[in-house]
Amino acid sequence: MEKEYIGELEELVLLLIVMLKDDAYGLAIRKALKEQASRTVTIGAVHGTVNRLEGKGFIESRLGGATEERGGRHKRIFSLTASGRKVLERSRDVKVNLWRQIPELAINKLG
Amino acid sequence: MSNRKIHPPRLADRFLQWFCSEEVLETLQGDLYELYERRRERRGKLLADIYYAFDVLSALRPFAFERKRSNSNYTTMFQHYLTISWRNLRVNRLYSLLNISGLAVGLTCGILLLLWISHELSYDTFHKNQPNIYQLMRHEVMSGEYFTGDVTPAPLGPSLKSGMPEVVFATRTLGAGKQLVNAGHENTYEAVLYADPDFFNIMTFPSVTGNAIEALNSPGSVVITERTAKKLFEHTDPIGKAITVNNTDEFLVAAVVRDVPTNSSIRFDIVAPFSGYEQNRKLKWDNNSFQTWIMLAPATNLLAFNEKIDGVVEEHLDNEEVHLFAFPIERLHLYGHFNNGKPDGGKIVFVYLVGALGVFILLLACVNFMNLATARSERRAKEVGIRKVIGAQRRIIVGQFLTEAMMITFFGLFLSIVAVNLLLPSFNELTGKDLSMSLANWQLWSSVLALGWVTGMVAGSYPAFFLSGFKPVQAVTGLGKAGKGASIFRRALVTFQFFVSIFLIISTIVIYVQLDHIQGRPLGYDQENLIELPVRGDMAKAFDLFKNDLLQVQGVTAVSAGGDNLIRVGGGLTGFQWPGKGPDEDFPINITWVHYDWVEASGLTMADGRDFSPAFGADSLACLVNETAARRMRLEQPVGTHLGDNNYIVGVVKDFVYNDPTSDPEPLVIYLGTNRISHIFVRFQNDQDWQKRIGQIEEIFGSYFPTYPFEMHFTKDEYQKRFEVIRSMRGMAILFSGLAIFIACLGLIGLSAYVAERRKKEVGIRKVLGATISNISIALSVDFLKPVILSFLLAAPLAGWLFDTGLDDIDYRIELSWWIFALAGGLALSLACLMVSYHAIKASTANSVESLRTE
Repeated sequence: MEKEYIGELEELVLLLIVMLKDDAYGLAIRKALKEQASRTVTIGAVHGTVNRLEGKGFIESRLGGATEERGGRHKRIFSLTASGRKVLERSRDVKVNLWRQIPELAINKLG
Repeated sequence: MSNRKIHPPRLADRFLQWFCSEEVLETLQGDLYELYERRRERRGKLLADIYYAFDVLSALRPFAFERKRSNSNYTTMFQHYLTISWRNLRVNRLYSLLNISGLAVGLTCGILLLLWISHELSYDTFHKNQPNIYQLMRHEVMSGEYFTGDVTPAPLGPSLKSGMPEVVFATRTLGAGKQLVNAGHENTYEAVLYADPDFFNIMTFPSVTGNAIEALNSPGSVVITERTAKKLFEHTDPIGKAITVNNTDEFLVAAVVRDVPTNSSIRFDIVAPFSGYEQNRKLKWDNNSFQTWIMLAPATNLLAFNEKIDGVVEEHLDNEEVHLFAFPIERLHLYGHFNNGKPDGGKIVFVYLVGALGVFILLLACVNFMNLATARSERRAKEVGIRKVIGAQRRIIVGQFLTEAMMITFFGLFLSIVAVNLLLPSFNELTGKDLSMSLANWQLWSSVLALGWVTGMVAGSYPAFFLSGFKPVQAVTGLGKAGKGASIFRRALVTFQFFVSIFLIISTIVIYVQLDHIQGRPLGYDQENLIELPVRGDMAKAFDLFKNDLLQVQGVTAVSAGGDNLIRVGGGLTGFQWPGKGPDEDFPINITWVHYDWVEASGLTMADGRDFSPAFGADSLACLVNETAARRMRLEQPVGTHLGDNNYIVGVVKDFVYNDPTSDPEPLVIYLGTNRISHIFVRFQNDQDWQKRIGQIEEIFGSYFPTYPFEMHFTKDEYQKRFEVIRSMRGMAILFSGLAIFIACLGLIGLSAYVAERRKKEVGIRKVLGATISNISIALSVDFLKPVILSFLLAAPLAGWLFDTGLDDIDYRIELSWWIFALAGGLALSLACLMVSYHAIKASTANSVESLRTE
């Protein structure tokens, strides 16, 4: 993997894919982004992000079922790959590590 | 899969389908539809539509239109072909260079000749009515021989239009040549064409302003081209402005048409109404000075029509056999040439010749490619073997080598397009055309691409099938050598290349020598120190006074005038009467009218009798003949003989060269016609002061004819212009035979480099055993010279026979002598030696230790 860093939106999307499990397709991700993170993004932006993540090898996809309201078009269901998992863990560790080193921010904020 | 109808805005949906790649579209569109449906249910159709369009735009990102790499076998194989081809190109730099430059040169020739041919073929195709336009032509029968021409009498056009229902439009035209045109302060010479209004109904010369057809309906208005309008009126509106032709006829400009395309048989700067020309002249059926063009109704049967009009002219004449016929304009430029009543080609012959030339030069380049590719086959044999072992079918290997050939060809094609654009200005100068490679001309570009493709296929197909035919075991173990067949084939190809090259060199030399021969032909008069002033408009009236003043100039020895310049003389006329003429005897005789002292001024010599002179009162009935006329009329005592009704011969002029400089002089009768002059001849002494003298002549001219620009030609220069066509042919011959031999030499360099390398060990062993450098280099070279000698033995007799027959059409021809062939053969052989010896010497001087130390 050449680039192992991910952006903020990418990280959110990765986490949501894990959360959504078998329902992790474009529109569901968009909805979850709104509900969980109060982020309104266009469907184009979601597809752009998942495509990028797939290109980096952090997620993989398979075709899911087609419903009538989709005009008979398939869903693309995403799931995390091993390297996706690694990159999420690394990102979490880095942040936790940083938070630990700056207790004053945590105290001020809480206080 | 059920398909419930979902109706998002169609435009947005179409747009999405257009820019999305297929893989993305399926799921993206699905998500969009789902979203749309939900929004529609919750917020109504309008908002959902708007959001939909917005979302489609939001998806306009790189991921959506990037096509994922297809895993199809074909594309993978093709990518592989390209990679391998590219690597091979880079590894074998010398061969690639030779191949690409050879093909580039060949394709450059091909494209240039293609441009030339397509221009020739495009003649008169721009007329919208082209399939129905015909020119009326006539066969005239004299002494059983047919003479064909396009001159017709003036009453013919109107009589056909009123008398024949098939004729939709008819126009007479008279190309009056360059005439003096004044408009305000501008004086120029423009080509004036007289025509009937139907001219613009028949031909397609679109108007820019004004109505050209109506303009020709009134005798006082003219149509001019855009170029002429710019010249005469610059940027002001020309409509309604007055122009004067020849200081005598005044016209108002009534319409402007686009400039005449370069591929038009009919050329003009100004079209004036024929009715105006006709007004003061009585044009009867016996005056054949005009062209007649007609447009027939579609689906007219030409054969039946021609039968109907066959006798239309003849019935108005007595004692002449004239057959009229309509000739289609689409055949005029290429096929409009007749010999004894039968069409015998015309320009089309040149088109075929040039086409053949292009094909042969391209073939030479292809042969180079084939030779080099098969010569190196041993190097590629292992590759082919391994491929086959791995499981490649033959067709895949063929594809591989064809791709390589195509790649090289298209590199060459790219270079050649650059080269053509650089060469076009000089090529245009050479051929006297105005060719261009405009980007808008898609037919041209597609034929150029097709040319490249065919070249690549021809060049690549033999190597591809040859190389792909190796048996894997032999190829990998190296047991099977590239067979003897291939090497014989290579020699045959080299022989072919030099055959073409030597043939072209011989033709170049023949054209060169023949042109030199004609240009050095004794003319029968002195062209040096003779100038000619064209007579325009009403200049002839003042001739006698003008002549006297000119004769006062120091060094001017004689002044005369005539109806023709000395280079083009007269038109053929039949029906002459002379004593002793047989009943069926008749041949066309050229006639011309001249002024007093004509023989002296033109520098001709008298064989017998005297020049026209005012000293003999009654010279108005006198005439001169040339020797050929006297001989063909079988006049024993020409001087004093009566000719025609009441003329008598006062002198015989020695034959001189006129009209066609390559043919024997035709019979000529010269009358005294003091009012029919259109050229003034001035002869002066041969010394250093000629420039001063011309200045004085110009001064006198200005005092007599202040409104006319001074024009002057050296008769010698005018004569040289007659050779422009042959000179441009010579230029093309030199150019293309040079390129052909260049390509052939490239091939030889490649082959000799290959052989020198292959025989490295042999050379090493020979040297160890005591062979000298010269021994070895001669041994290496001689192999290559055999095909060159063989090709000379084939090309020389063929070229000799062809040119000997070809030159038979020319009266004043050279005899083909041995040195022409020796020069061509020597040239080819020495060039070949030069090319081959470089690698031969390099191989023979190489250190034998280097070549022998490893096995």
